[in-house]
Amino acid sequence: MVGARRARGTAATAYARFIIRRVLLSVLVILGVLVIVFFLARVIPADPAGLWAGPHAPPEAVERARGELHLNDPLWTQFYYYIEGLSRGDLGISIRTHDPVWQDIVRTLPPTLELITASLILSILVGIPLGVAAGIRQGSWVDHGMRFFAISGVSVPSFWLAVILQLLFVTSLGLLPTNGYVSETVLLTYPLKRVTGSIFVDALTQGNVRVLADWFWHLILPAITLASYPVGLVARMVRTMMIEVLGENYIRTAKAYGLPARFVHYRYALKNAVAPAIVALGLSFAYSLTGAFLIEYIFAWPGIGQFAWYSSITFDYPAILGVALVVAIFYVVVNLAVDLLQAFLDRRIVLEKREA
Amino acid sequence: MSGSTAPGPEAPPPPRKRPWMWIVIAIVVVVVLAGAGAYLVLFQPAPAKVPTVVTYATSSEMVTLDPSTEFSNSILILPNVYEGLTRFNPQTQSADPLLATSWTKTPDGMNWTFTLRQGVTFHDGTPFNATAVKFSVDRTIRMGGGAAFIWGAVDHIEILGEYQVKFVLTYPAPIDWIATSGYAAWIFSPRTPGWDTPGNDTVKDQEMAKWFEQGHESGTGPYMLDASQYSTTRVVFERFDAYWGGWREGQFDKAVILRNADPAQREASLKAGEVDITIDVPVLDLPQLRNDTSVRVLTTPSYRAIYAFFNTGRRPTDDPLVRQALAYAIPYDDIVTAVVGGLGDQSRGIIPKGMWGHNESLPQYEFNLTKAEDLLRQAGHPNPNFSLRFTYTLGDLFEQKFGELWKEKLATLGITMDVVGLPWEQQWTEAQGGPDTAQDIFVMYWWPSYVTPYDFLFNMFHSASYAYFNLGYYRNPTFDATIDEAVSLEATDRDMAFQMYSQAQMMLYNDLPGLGIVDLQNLYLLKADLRGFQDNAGYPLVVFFYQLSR
Amino acid sequence: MTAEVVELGIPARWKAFVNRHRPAYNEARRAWRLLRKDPLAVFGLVIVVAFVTVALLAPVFAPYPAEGRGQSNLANRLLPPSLEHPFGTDDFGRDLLSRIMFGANIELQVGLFTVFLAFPIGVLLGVLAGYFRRGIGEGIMRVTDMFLAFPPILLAFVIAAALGRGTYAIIVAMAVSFWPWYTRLVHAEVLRVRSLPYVEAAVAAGLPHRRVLLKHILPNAITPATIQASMDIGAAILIGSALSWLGLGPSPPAPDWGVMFNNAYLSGSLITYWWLGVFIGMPIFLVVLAFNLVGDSVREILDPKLRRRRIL
Repeated sequence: MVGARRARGTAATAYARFIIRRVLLSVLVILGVLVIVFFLARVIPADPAGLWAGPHAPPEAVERARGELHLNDPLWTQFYYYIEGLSRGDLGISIRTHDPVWQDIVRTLPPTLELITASLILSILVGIPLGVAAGIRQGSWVDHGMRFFAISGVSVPSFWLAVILQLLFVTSLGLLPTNGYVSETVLLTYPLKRVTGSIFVDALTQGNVRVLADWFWHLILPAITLASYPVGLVARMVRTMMIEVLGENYIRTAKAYGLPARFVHYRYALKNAVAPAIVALGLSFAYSLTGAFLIEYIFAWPGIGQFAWYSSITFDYPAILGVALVVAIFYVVVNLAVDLLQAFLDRRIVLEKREA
Repeated sequence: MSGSTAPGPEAPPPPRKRPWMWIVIAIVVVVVLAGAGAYLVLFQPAPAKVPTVVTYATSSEMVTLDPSTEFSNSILILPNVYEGLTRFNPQTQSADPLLATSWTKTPDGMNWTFTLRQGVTFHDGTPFNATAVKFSVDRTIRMGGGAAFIWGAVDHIEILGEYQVKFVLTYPAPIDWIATSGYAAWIFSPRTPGWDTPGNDTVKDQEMAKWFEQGHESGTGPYMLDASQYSTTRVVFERFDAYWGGWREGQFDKAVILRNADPAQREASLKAGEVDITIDVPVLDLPQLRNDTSVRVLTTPSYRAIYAFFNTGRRPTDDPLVRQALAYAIPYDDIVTAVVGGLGDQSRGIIPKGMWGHNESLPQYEFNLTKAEDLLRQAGHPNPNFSLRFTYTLGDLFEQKFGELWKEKLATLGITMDVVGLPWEQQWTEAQGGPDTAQDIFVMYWWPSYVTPYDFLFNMFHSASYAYFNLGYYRNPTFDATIDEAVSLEATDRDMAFQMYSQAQMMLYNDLPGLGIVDLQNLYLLKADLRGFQDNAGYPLVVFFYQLSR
Repeated sequence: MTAEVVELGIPARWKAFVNRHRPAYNEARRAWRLLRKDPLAVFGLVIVVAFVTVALLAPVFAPYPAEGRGQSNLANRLLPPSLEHPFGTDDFGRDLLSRIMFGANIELQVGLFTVFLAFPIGVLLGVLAGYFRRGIGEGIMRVTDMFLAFPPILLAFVIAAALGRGTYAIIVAMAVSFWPWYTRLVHAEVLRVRSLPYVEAAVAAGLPHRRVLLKHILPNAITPATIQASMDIGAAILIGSALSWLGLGPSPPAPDWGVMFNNAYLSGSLITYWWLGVFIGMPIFLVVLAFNLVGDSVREILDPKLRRRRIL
C-alpha cells in the first residue's frame, strides 16, 4: 500500500520491489513456522514409533521402527534431514497412514477447499446484502435484527450448530444426509474415476451428474455450519463500511442532487464498503484450512482439518509439519494477494478521484 | 480508507433503468441451465447391472496390508481376502479346517502334518498347494515383523507332496491353533509381484511389501481388493467368482469398509440407510435401538477387556495392601451397568470370559469401602491424603467414565485421584519411562493376537515385558516360570496348562500389579434385513462378508 | 454539583479525579447513555451480568451443588427435564442445571484470563513495534506474522498437550494465538498516531521515549485493541469450549461446558437425549453472543466514523 501511494510514474518498479520484498519475508515466515512447530511438537514426551509398528507390536518391532524413523537421532539432525528432504520436495512418510505426506495432503486438501469455497460464496451472497440493508437503515429494527443475526453467526459454537442442524434437517425433516462426503451406494453404482482429490472436479469433468448432485447434497449442511462465522463477519464489516461511507460528503451531495437513493448506495457506497470485507474473507480463508476441522469431524468430511487433528493427536511428526507447511504457505500467499489487491484497488480509487 | 472528494458541482446523469433487461437475461440463464441439467440427467448412461453392496462402518483406520506383517486394524480386511490353514471356532473352542482339510501331530507335539484342500486358486490364478504354504510362512518368519513371533517354534517346513506339508518344531506348540491367527498366518500366492525382482530374499520381500501397500493382495479368499479405490479409511472389495467355497443366491457382489471414528455418526449412518452394519454405537442408545424394528442389535462375547495397572515401583502403590484397598474401592457393578451399559461382566482373573483359560472359580475383588478402609489402616494410612495420577486414552469413553466413578469412591476415603486423558502415544511413553516417573495407574485394553492365555499373561505381566506392556512393573520369577511352562504344555497337555494358567492368575490376584476390570462384549448394529452374520471372537470385530446376504 | 464536600474524603477525591479527566468522563457518560438505548446491548449486558453472577455464586444458586461439582447419582441417569431437574440429568444422574452453573465459573476464567494474558503482551509488542519502526519493530512484526501463519489447531494442541491439558493450558494456548491480533491493531494505530502533529512536537521537544509512549501514544492507540479485547472474551469462551470438546480441557468430572458437550455427544444420541445437546450448547452460545453484542455496541458508540452518522 505504501508503494502504491508513492507510485506515479514509477509504478512498475515500486510494485516489483514491493512484491520481491514481501516474498522474501514470506519465506522467512514459513521457515520460522517450521522451526517452531518442529521443536514445539517434540516438547511433549510421546513416541510415535508404536504407531508405526502397531498396537500390540513386540518391543523389537518398535525399536526397529524408532531406528527407521530416525527418532533416536538428536533433534537438530532430524531437523536437518527434514529440511534437506523438503528441498527435494520430499515431505516424509506419515507415521500414521504409512503414505507419503504429500500424498495425504493432496488427498485431503481438495475437500477442504471445496468446503471453504462453498462457505465463502455463501457468506458473500448472504452477508453482503444483509450488511448493506443494515447499514442503510442504521438504528432501525431492521438494523437491530440484522446485527443480532450477524453477531449470532459469529458467536455460535460450530459443534453445537452442527448438531442442531443435523437434528433439524436430517432427523426431523429427513432432507439431508447425516454426514460423509458422498454416499457409498451412489459411488459404487455410478463409478467415478478419482483423478484429483476433489469429487466436485472429477464428477464435473467426467459428466457424472448423479455423483455431483450427491456431493452437493452432502455439502449443504457443513457449508452452512462453516459459513455462520464468515457471514456474521462480512455482514458486520459491510454494515460498518456502509455507515462510514454513507456519512461521507460526496454521498450527501449526490443525494442532494436528487439521485435515487438506491443508485447512490449500490453504485458508490457498495464498492468502497465491500473491499475491506473481501480482505477479511481472504484472511479467514487461510484460517479455515485447519479451522474447518470441527465441522469436518462432525460431518465426516475428509478434509485437511481432520487430517491435521488426527496427526496432532497421534504425534505424527512428518504429517504435522506437512500441514503446518501447507497452511503457512496458504497464509502468506493469501496475505500477499490481499495486499496486492488493496494496493491495486487503492490506485484505482486514486485515479478515479483525479478524473472527477 | 474511502475518503474521496465530491464528484464536482455537476452530478452525472442517472442511468436509464432497464429492469426488464435483467429479467430477460435471468430467464435465459435459468432455461439454459435447466436444459443442460435435464440433458445430462436423462442421457446419463444407466449402469448395466446394479451391484449389490454391503457396507461396514468401523472405528479405526486400516493402514497396512502386508499379510506377513500386518498386526493392527487391517485385520478387518485380510480375513476376507486371505485364508489361513485353519480358522478358529469360538463355539467349540477349536481350530476348524480352512485351507487345510485335516492334520496330524506326533505325540510330542513337535511335528505337524497338514493335508491341504484341493481345487483352490489364488486371485491371480495360481493354484494353491504346499509350495504356497511354505512360501508364505517362510516369508513371514523371515521378515520377522508384526506377529511373526507366533511361528517362533517352527524350525523348518517340509513339502511332503503337492497337498501335504509338514511343520517341524524346536519345541512343542499347537500349530493348528497358531494357524488360526488373524495375524501373520495368511497364505498368499508364490507369484505375488515383487518376488520376481532380482536380488536376495530381503529385496524381494521389500518389493512385495511395496506392492501390498499400494492396495493389492494375492489371496485365496472370497473377495478381492479393489486397489484403485483403496484408502486407509475406505476399502472396496469385489467378489472373487472362482472362490472354492462357491456362491449362493443373495450374497453380495461388492463390499465396502468405511471408517468413521465417531460412534454417534456410525449409528446415524446406519439408521439413515447408508451403512449396513457397524460396531460400538453409544451404549445409552441401546434401549431405543432394541425397540427399532429396522435394525438389529447384537451383543457377543469378545476376548477384549479393560485392565488397570498399579505402579508397583513407587509409593504409595508399591504396598500390596494399598493396591488391594484401591481394588476394593472400584464400583464394579456401577461400571458394568452405568458405564458399559450392561455389555460386559466384571473380570474374573485376567483371561476374559468365554476364552479358554478363563476360570470361573477364581476369586474377584468386590466393591467394599469398609474393607478398603481397613486395609489402608493396616498399611499405615489411617488418614490417607495422598493423590494418584490415573491416565487413560483420550477419547475413550469407557476408560474415562471408569476413572470418574473410581475417583468419586476414592474421594470418600480421602484419596484424590486425578483422571487424565492423554493421546495413547503420550500415555504409553509416560508409562514406559519406568516406575519413578510414570503414572500411578495406567489403563488400557487388551485382546489376543491368537487365542492363548499366554498372550495376555506374557505381555502384561512377564518380566520380559517390563515397562513395555507390563506396566505394573511386575517382576516375579515364579510367575514367569509358571506361564512359560504352561505355554509349552498347550500342545500336549491342555488340562495341565489350564491349571498352571489358573495358578498364575491367582498369583496376580494376590500380588495385584494390575487387574482386569470389565470383560467387554462386542456391540454390533445391523440393518434388520441383513442375514447370515455371525461374530467370531477369534477375529475381533471382523465381518466376514462371505457369510452375509440380504 | 453541590458544594457539600467532605474534606479529604473519597467524594472529594473522586470529584478531583473526574475534573482532571473531564473529557474522558463525559465521553464515558455519553457512551453509557447511548448503550442503554441500544436493545441489543441491553440484552447482552443483562446476560453478561447474569453469567458473572452465576459464575461467582454458583454454590448459592445451584439446586444440587454436590452434583454440580461432580458427584454422581446413578439412580437418576438421563432423566428428561422436569420440575426437580429443569434441565434434566446427565449420563451420571447429575442435575444438568447445577452442572452448568458450576461450569460458568470455568468459562468466565477462560474468557477473562485469556484476554488478560494476551492483551498486555500484544499491546506492549504493538507499541514497541510501531514506535521503534526499524530494527526491533521489524523483528516484532515478523514474529507476529509467524504466529499468525500458524495453524491454530496445531498450536493449541501442542501447547495444551505440553502443559498437561486443563483449563490453564487452554488459556495459555489461546493467549498465544490471540496476542498477534492486538499487536497488529496497536501497531497500525501507533503508526497513525505518531504522525500526528502534537506527537511529533513532543518528540522534537526531546521528551523521553517512555513519556511519549505512555502519555501520548498509548492512550490514543489502544482503543481499537480494547474494543477487540471486549469481544475476544466471548471468542475465548467459544474457542475454549471447542478445545475442551476436543479433549484438551480439564479432566472430567469438571463441569466445563465443552467437556460436558463432548461427553454427551459420545455417550448417546443427542436426538433421544435432546436436553443434553440443547442445554449444554445454549449457554455457550448465549454467553458468547452477549459478550459480542456488548462489544459490538461499544465499538459502535466509540468509533468516531460510525458516530458521525448518528449525529446527523
